[in-house]
Amino acid sequence: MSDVAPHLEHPIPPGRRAEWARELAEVPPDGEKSQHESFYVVRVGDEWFGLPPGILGATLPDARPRKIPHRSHTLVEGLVNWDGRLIVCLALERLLGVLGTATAKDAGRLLVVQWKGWTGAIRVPFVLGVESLDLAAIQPLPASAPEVLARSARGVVLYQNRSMVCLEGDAFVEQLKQAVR
Amino acid sequence: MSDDLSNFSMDELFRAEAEMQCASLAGDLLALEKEPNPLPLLENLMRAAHSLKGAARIVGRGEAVRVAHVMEDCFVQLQKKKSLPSPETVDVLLRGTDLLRQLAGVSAGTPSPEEIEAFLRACENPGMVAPGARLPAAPAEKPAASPAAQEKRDVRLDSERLDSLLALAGQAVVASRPDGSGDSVRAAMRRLQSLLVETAKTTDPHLQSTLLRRALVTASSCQSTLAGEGETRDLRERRLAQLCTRIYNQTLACRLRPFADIVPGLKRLARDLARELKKEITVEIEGEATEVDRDLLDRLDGPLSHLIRNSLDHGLETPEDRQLAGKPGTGVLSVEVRSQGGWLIVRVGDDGRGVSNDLIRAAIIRRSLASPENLQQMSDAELSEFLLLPGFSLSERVTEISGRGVGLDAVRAMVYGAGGSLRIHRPEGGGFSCEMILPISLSLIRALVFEVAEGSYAVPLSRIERVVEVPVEEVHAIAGRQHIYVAQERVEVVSAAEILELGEAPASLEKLPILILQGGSGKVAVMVDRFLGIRQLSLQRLDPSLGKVQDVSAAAVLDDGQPVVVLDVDDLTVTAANFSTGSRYRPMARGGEGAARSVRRILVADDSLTVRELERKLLANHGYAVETAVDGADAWNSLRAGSYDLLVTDIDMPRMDGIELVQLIRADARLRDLPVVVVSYKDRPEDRARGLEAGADFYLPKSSYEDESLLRAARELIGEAVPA
Repeated sequence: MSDVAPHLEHPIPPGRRAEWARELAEVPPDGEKSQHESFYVVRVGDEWFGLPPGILGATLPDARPRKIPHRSHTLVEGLVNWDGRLIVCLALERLLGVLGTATAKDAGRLLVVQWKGWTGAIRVPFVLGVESLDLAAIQPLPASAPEVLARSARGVVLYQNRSMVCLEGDAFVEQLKQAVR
Repeated sequence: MSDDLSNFSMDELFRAEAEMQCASLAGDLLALEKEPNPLPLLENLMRAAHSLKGAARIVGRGEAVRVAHVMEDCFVQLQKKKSLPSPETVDVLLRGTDLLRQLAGVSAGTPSPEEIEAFLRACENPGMVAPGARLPAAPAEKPAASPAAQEKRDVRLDSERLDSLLALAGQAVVASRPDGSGDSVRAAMRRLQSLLVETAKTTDPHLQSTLLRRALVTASSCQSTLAGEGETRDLRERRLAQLCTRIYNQTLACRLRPFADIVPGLKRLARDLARELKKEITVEIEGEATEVDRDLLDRLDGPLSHLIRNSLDHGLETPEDRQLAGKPGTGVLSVEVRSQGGWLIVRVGDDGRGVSNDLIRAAIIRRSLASPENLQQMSDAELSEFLLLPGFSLSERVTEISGRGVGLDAVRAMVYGAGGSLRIHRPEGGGFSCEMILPISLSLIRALVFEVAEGSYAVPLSRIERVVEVPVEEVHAIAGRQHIYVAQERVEVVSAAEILELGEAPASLEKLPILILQGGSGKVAVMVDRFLGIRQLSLQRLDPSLGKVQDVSAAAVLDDGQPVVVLDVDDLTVTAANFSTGSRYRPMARGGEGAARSVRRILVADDSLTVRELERKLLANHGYAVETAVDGADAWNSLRAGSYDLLVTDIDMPRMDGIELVQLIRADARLRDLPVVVVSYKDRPEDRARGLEAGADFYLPKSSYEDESLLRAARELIGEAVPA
């Protein structure tokens, strides 16, 4: 192993211990408590969304859903196979009222949403990954936001110079459930 | 208890126990009435009530404790007196098992405190329960009709089956582990590599040739090792495939339940009906041990009840009538179940008055379904066919037990839906029996898979009349519609992509792949994009929250992991017929809704196919453009997507009922002013008030399509079909 990670065996630079202790002992200034939360950040169309990671049961390579007769004009995109089980896949763009689907090849993912006994899938064209977003400066959604979004979003935060809509788990899954009907 | 129940919560355990004990209580109570020596049965009954009381106490269900306690007391008193309970007492005690099932959450509904008090009072003195003190009849346990209601169910398996499954799965895990094969090849390859490196380094020709010889030996040993390992791998793969098949088959077998599981319910139904109709019967059941697919068993419940109701109401006579006819006073109702050559055969029969040809002919003439001359030429079997028509009834009399003409057509629909067939026997000297022939498993079918709009869809083989590939030049256009000739018969061709609203029909092919299907409303030819072949499919139910999807019966996964949607042939033929008459019109399918709309459009929402079609035809015959929706949610989707002049809706529908639908419409800015007609079986003043309060413009009883009132309402609200 020693030849694999030689930097681990370097001596600690002088003063590093003391510096570390100081960092750990530092009390964050009042009122600036960290409000970081993890979100699974995805891009749908030209917009970014943060999904609570807790609602995701699995992420799979993108697959084209099998259309269900008479339902292709609804929010239900079709059926997808998740480990031999056929689950309903919803058209996220249509649900969130997002325009323009810039689907990057191979970057798309099929997300299995599993929350409080409900299982379904959504397709996202691009996934950034799990990111820690600071909710301290969260802004309300613009008043013009579609109703579904207004009902399921906690607000908008700026992250890496992009506006991200943070979704609330219960409310978002509720919208998905409604969309199946 | 042999089952593995370690994962159950206390409440679930109580429910499982209540289900088991109540089944045994009900079974023994029914047997008690025919039993000469009641003591052993009373002992069983007492013990069952006692166990249930104990269990209820553990989970703190006070009401269930009280109910079980008085039942136990009852049995103890009967035991002491060594006497049989009167039929009224049996009624009361059966009511007790119903209460216990409800209290334990086994069956739906919560008994009111008054019901429980009434029961406790009625049990106080079992020997002397006055005949007049009969409790209100037990609410019939509703057959779980909607799949949504049975979304989650506990499945009980015997531990042996589970153990053997676990053992098989364990074997599969072991067999799939890497077995270290390949290690020796990898070692030989490394050796070969170092030999070649050494050869390259040296300039000594003698050493080089020695090293190369050694390399050659290593390479050839490598080859033989690989060959040996290939053989081992093949063996392993075969073994794994075998294990997977066995796991699959055993898991399928877990879906089987003995027919005996639904026997107590059937006996109870027969007994209650016989008492109500003052008839005396014995119920003979054969083949209780026959194993039946769980889903099939659930679906059998309805048709069996229909057949039993029919037998008791119309077939079997009262004791007096029987004796006058020279038969024993007690009639026989027999239910026989057996499996034969991959089919399950269920026969329900009686030795009642039977159905004579004259009786059927009279009914046919009354309804002007055939001319008297034609009737005389019809065979017995042809006459029997009329009994299966929707709404066909031999008597004008409407009874509470078997309704009006309800029964055989519903039985036929279920049996055909399951891919089976139906046979009726009407022996000369009386008696009547109906035989349902069903596939053993509903979940595994052979189907033809084909492509439509780049997706795969399937139809069960048993429902396909024939498959043809027709050259384009043999397709005839008649009055703007395409037709083909199949065995001299002209059949209209519809495109699957269009009628299923999956997209555009494919660009012209040289040969059109066509399925010929036979449905209730005639033959249709459905053109698909491409045939993919015959596959064995393991069916899955669609997500229940989707509700009933028109033209779809199930879904499955193909070998390559792609989903395939299995189509419902009965629905499909109706959809195709409607499509061809042009009454079905969706803005999506025909390019926008702005185009000059000259005809008034009506949406009909009803979860019953029969009612839906009746209403559709009635309105379409008067020139309206009619579309249909299978429930409230479907209607809501259609209303939002299209534009209509009128909605005709039922009240009782799954997913979203009519009241909710009307409320949504009245709250929607665009749809607020849409006229709504409610057509419902519920015809009490309070129901009407509820419907009108929600915002309906008309509230009509379901019989309204028999007279002009639905049409009148439509005309009043939106005028004639084509506006002047």
